[in-house]
Amino acid sequence: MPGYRVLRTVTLLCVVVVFAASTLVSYRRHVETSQLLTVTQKGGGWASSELEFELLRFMHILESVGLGRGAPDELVLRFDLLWSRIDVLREGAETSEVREMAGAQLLLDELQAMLRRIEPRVLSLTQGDTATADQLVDSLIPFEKRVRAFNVASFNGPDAQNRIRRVFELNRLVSISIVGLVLSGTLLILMLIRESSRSRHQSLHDELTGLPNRKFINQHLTAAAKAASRAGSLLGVHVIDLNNFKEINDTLGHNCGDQMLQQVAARLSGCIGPHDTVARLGGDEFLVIQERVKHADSCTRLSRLLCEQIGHEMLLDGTRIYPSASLGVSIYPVDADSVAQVQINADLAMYRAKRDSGVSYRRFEPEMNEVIQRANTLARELKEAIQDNQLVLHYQPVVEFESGRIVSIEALLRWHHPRYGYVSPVEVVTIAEQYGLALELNEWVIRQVCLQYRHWVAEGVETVCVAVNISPSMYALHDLEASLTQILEDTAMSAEHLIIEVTEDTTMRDIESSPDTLHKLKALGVQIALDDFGTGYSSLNHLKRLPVDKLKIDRSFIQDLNISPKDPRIIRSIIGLAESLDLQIIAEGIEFVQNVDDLVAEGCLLGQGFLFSKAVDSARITEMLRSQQQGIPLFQAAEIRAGMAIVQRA
Amino acid sequence: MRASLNVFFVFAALLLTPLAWSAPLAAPEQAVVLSVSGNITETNVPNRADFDLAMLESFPQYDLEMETPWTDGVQRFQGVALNELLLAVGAQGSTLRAMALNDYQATINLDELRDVQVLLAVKLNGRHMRVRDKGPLWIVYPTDSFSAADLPRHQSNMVWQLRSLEIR
Repeated sequence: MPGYRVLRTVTLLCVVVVFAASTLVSYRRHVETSQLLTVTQKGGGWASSELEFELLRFMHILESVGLGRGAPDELVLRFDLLWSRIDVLREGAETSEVREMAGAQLLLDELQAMLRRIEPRVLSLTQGDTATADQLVDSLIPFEKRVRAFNVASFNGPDAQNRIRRVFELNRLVSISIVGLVLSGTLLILMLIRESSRSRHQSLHDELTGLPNRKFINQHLTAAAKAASRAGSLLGVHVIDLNNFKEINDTLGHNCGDQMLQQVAARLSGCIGPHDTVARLGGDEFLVIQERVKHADSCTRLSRLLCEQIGHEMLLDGTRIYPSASLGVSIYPVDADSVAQVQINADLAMYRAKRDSGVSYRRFEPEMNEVIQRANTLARELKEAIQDNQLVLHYQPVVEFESGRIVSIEALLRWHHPRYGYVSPVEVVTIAEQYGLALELNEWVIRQVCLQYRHWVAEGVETVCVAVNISPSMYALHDLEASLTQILEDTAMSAEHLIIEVTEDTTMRDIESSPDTLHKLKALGVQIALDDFGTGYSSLNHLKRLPVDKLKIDRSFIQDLNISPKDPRIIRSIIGLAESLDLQIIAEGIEFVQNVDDLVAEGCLLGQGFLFSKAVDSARITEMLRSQQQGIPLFQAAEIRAGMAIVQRA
Repeated sequence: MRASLNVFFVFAALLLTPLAWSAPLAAPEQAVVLSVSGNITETNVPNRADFDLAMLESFPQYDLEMETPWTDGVQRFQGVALNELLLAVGAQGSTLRAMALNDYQATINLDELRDVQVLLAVKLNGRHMRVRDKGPLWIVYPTDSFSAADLPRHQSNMVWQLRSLEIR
């Protein structure tokens, strides 16, 4: 590239120099020609003939005066005019060529000297003084011949001939320089056209691999789709993404990474047909457009071939590697009506291929789109669902093992979607976060929980604390404290009965400000529970700084207790940790009586799970609380120990 | 080529012109150096207006500095503005026939020179010109107002040893 650039610059410079020189030469030659033709030839020739003419007229008047006919006044005028003619030839640019002819200077000098010598006699010549007049004429006769010769020479002499020759020569030079002008001008225009086509090529091609780029593809796909529609053929779009390319870059260096991309580009280019196009979309992503396809099968055949070709052994700076790629293919117009959608489909299929181990290529299937469509539909309808109270809260009791009493209730979000049915809280929260509905959703949930609590109080039902889950962005991006303050005020909820559950991961998102955030919440009077504890990576130091009241052990640790041989060491250390930090422990996901026994043995006294109750609707949990009010605990460990089956009051 | 015109004299010319035009033309007292004939209203001899050098020098005098193809180096010409002279003789017409002592002739289109200060020079570099020095009168005007193609034509109209003018 640099070599080419130097060459280009040098060529350009040369062309410009030739152009400029040709212009200059052409101009100067032209000026010289004009000068020769108009001034020198005309002016010089005129001046020399005038000299001869004035000399003859002066001699003529001399004779006339001598013969008594001419007037002395006229004689003086003619003398002066002749005199002036010598000076005309002596100075000025117009006559420079003539006076430089051989012998010219001498002639002028001698003629002037002669005029000077005869001047007194000319001025004093009287009419009829023939003798003096004749003498004067005689003294001028030698000059008559010389001036005549000079005049003829200025018209026809070697200098004049040279001037004529010079004019023709100049004309030839002008012609040459005009050829130079035309050639260099043409060359300049050609270079301009070439440069503009090069820069157009550059804007549409990838520098590293020389393949068309995304911009090119965007233009070309539309055209190719039109052509396919016209011809009634199919159009295959293959999206190819290298696997583990980042590792190649990280371990072998970016130079090797670039080499790999170039080799992959070469391999892809090597196995496509004459009507197909390979492009690099960016990074390690390539795209192949397969045109004039008759059957969908040939698309998958090409997909397989492309994957195979990429998969061959490759040498990068002496290092042997075995590349692999994930490929997704979608076919226009079979898979979608628009070619843009086909490209998205191919992308989806590629990601599916990447996710499924052992598969290198996937043909797009409609269900791949459903995941995305579902998310879009849910997001669109979630807002309405929140506003129309389509969402409901279910409640799961937290039970004190020993007494079997409900000590608190965790509110859980439920959405029964008219089309998709039950939508899990995880999915709802994820969608709310992705589509910017987190604030609205979280506020709705907290308000709903507070209203439920206030309802129990109003109904005179025994009340326990209610816990609500806060989603990550509510915690990190929005002003949770302000929302809570407003809701507590609106619903007249007693803050100490509200438990805010944040996951360990959520608090880890912004380690620095987490303690502050939580302290502000604590200042409102609410309790704070750390949810899913043990799955995150919080350090003891971080944990110590957080003003939490409760730890909720993640269900996965409880499930571990069901595996034999049992290994309670992790549970034990979590409980030990909680005790040392003076935190209340709640176990999640309790399914078996044995779990309760094991947890009690380790010192955990509270828990929730299917053993006690799944999350139930508002009416059912109210019923449970009423039973408890009447002295009937939800769970009776004694009964179970007596050999009864799992107790779960219907 | 550089032309410089004396601004003061332009104003002076504006003031004097009506006087010069209305006053009857005096007769020359010395040798006649210029005869104007043709389509004119003011005369001092039958059908003609003759001028001696003193008459010409009684007109406002202007300067013009320039180079010419017939001289070496920058020359300073001094003389009468042609348009003022033509006004003084009541000239009607746009073509001027200039004749030299040696019967050289040039036809000058005055319309072409409307924006150019044409001078009848009576002095060159501060001195009167003898016939031997291309005098006594020389038609000059700044040639830098013309293109290279027009220049030769104008240069051949700059008649030296001028003797007479004929208005047509």
